[in-house]
Parts: sequence; C-alpha cells; structure tokens
Amino acid sequence: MSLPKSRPVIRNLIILSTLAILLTIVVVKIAYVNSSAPNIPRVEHSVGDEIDGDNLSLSVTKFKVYDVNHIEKIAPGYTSLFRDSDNPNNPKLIVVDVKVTNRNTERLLFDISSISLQSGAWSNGVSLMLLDSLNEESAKELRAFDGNTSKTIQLPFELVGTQFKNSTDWELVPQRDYDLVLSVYPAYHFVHLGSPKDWRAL
Amino acid sequence: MSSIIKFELHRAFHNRMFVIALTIGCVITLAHVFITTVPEFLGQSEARELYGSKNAYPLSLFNSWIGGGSSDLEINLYFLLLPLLICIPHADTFFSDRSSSYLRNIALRSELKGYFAAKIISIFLSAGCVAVIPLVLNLAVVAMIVPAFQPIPATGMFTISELSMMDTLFYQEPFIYLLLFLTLIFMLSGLLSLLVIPFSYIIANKTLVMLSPFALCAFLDFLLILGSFELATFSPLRILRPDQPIPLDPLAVTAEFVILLAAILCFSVYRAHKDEVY
Repeated sequence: MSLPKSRPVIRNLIILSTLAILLTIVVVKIAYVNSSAPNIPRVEHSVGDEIDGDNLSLSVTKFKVYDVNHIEKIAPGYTSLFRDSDNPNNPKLIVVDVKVTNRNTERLLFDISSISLQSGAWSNGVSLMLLDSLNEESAKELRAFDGNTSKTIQLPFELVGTQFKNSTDWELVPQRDYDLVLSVYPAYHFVHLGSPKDWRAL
Repeated sequence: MSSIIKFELHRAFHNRMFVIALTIGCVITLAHVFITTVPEFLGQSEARELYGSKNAYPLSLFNSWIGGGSSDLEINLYFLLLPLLICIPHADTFFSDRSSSYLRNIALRSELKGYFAAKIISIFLSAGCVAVIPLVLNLAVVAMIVPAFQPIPATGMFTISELSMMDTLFYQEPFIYLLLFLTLIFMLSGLLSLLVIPFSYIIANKTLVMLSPFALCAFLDFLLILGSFELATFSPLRILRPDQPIPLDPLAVTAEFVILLAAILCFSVYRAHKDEVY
C-alpha cells in the first residue's frame, strides 16, 4: 500500500510553519531585548566647548603631534620603550591640553585614566609615565582640584608604528581625525578634535 | 546538466552526514552561549549592581557572539574543527564515486565536465552551509540575550583593531561587517572542502581524503606561525576567524582565494578531460 500523495505536502507545511513561528519568536525577542536596553546617547562636543561633568568642567584648548626626538626634549628623563633605530619617527606623541575647572567649593578628584584618544579603530589611554614629565605637578597632584580652582593639564597619548597597518598609514598620523573620549557609559561623550594638521594651520 | 546538479545537491543536503556535521557545529556554538555568554551577561548585571556602571561599557552582541573573540574553548574548538566539519557531509562522495563504477558510468553516458561542475557546486554549497548555519544560530541566540550596542574602540572591549581587515567597517556598520565575514567564511569553507577532489587522486583511503583539508590547514597553520607573524595571515585557520586574533591582510585573503580557486578549477578541468579520454 503506498502512502497518500498529500503526506509530503503536509509534512513540508508543518516544517515551514514551525520555522516561521520560530523565526517570528526570534525576531520579536531580539527587538524586545534591544528596545528595553538602556539607550547610550552619543554626545559630540567641539573644541572650546565647556563640558560639564560630575561637578568638574573641561574644555580642550590645544592639540599637537610630536615625534620621539621632541618628546625626549620636552620630557627630560623619559626614554620610550618603543624607540626604533630603523624608524627615527617612532613613536609619536599627541598632546591634548585641557582646562579643568572645579566650580564647587569642595575638593574634587579628576579621573584622568578614564580619558582616551581615538581615531578610526585606533585608541589609546593617557601615557601616565609622560603625564608626570609634561606637567609641573605629579599625576597624583594633578588629579586633585581644590574648590573654585582651575588648571590646564597636558594629556599625552603615545602612538606606536606597530599599531598601524603600514608605513603610509603611519606617515598619515598627523592628518587623521581624532576624538578625545571622555566617557563611554552611561553616555558616550567625546570631543571631536579634527586633525593635528588643521590645528597647525590655525 | 541541470538534472545532474539537482541530483548532486539532493545527495549533498539530504543525507545523514550533513545532519551530523550540522549538529556537531550547532552543539559547539550553542555550548558557547550557555557556557560563556549567559554567565558573562549575568555576571555583568551583578557587577553593575555592586560597583555601579559609571564608564563601564556593557557587553554587546558584537563581542559576545562566538565570532566576537576571546580565548574561550568553544571559539577555538569550532574554528579549529571547521575544516573537518565541512568535509563530513558530501566531500568524500567524490572519492566513493571514483572508486566505484559510478564515475565510469557517467563518463559513458554523458560528459564528465557536467559531473565535475555539479560536484564542485554541491560540495561548495554543503560545506558553506555547514560552516555558516551554526554561526548564524549562535548569533541569533546571543542577540536574544545581549543588546547590539555599537562598538567603540576606546572601550577596549572589541578585538578589531587598527591593524585588522575591515576595521573601519566594523566600528561604523558592524552588521555589514558580520554579513561580509560570514560570506567570506562560507566561500573559504566551500573552497577548502573542494581540496578533497585533488586529494582523491593522491590518497587511496576515503577517511584520509575526508581528513586531508583539516590536516593541510593544521599543518599550514603550524608552519606559517613558526615562520613569522606576517606569514600567519595566510593560514586558512586564521582567515576563518571573524575576531581576527591575528589581524588579516586583505591581500593575503585575496591571494588565498585566487590560488585555491585557480588550483581547484584547473585540476578539475584537467581531470575531467583526462578521465573522459581514458
């Protein structure tokens, strides 16, 4: 006795319906997870903007790129771990000057380590070793702000040749666009710095 | 021609080995969800309650799925076994056809070129599906748990760096990056599984023929990583990984595709002609 011809059709129909139901559940669940997730607003600031943080405000005043020889001149006693005899331009240093103001009457601490510089897929935190050498105060003193005071901090960020794809990309470091990332959560705050080349022109 | 393609596709997709290979892949990628993703996600929620969430970027789909990168066992296991899994469904049937009288019968009845074309298409597609379906399943299940927060390089939570291939695309359009990478995995898996065709003429054992792409990939990986870091970008086992533990070079990836495709096509055309004559 042969099976009725409608059997495979019914079987296929059941399989397709099950798949359609599963797919709908997956899509609805994904939409629910993403809609109920906290929204992370992207807040872009410009150079010179007074950015209010937790009782401290910050603004970018200067932005410049240096090569290794200049770093060793401006930061005596500093020897880069990434110094490359074959490439005298390695590493490079980007220094961002920020003016931080404490508008409160209490003494507050400024979290330098949470700040980073970003360009494309490259990013790096503040070089704490150079922070001491570039600024008059030590890193510990720099963080502390007495009531109603302000000071300008030079934030150094090191760029190493091996962090970039090839020599062309490395040479183009002064022409890339940079962002100074202040925080990533609960909101993504960053200052769009543009390229150091444009700053030189200004 | 179309009937033989249809027949070979039916052989490739309607067989027990296809289901077995797919099941092994899905078990590994689902294990990743329950062993790694879920505990990490729950641990994150707990840590946020205890220590607060200031400046702590939450887990995102793009670093939590199996291709998002870490040193977890499941990720390494899946991508290591991939060249083996893709050969399980249909790749060894070329050896069986050749050692039985099937290929001779085809040669007597029609042109061998049609058979070779059908075989190449069916092996390529079945291998691509076995490689990509478990990854898509993992991506879908993880997406039902972890939100797709936009990747930000400054968080330091994503493996794609300035040195990686398609780095800008990953941070600007991560879904397009995933789509392109899954396509790359599909195509490379298809090409790797086609290596069984030349190996069927060299090796006289069906199991060894099936194992040959896996053995070749593992041997190449060992040899290239022993050579230098730059050479390792040519290793198929590295190219298959979307998290790019060794940053990929687009030139190396293109070269790999061109060499594999040219070698397999040239060999198949040559054998189709030679087998037909004799």
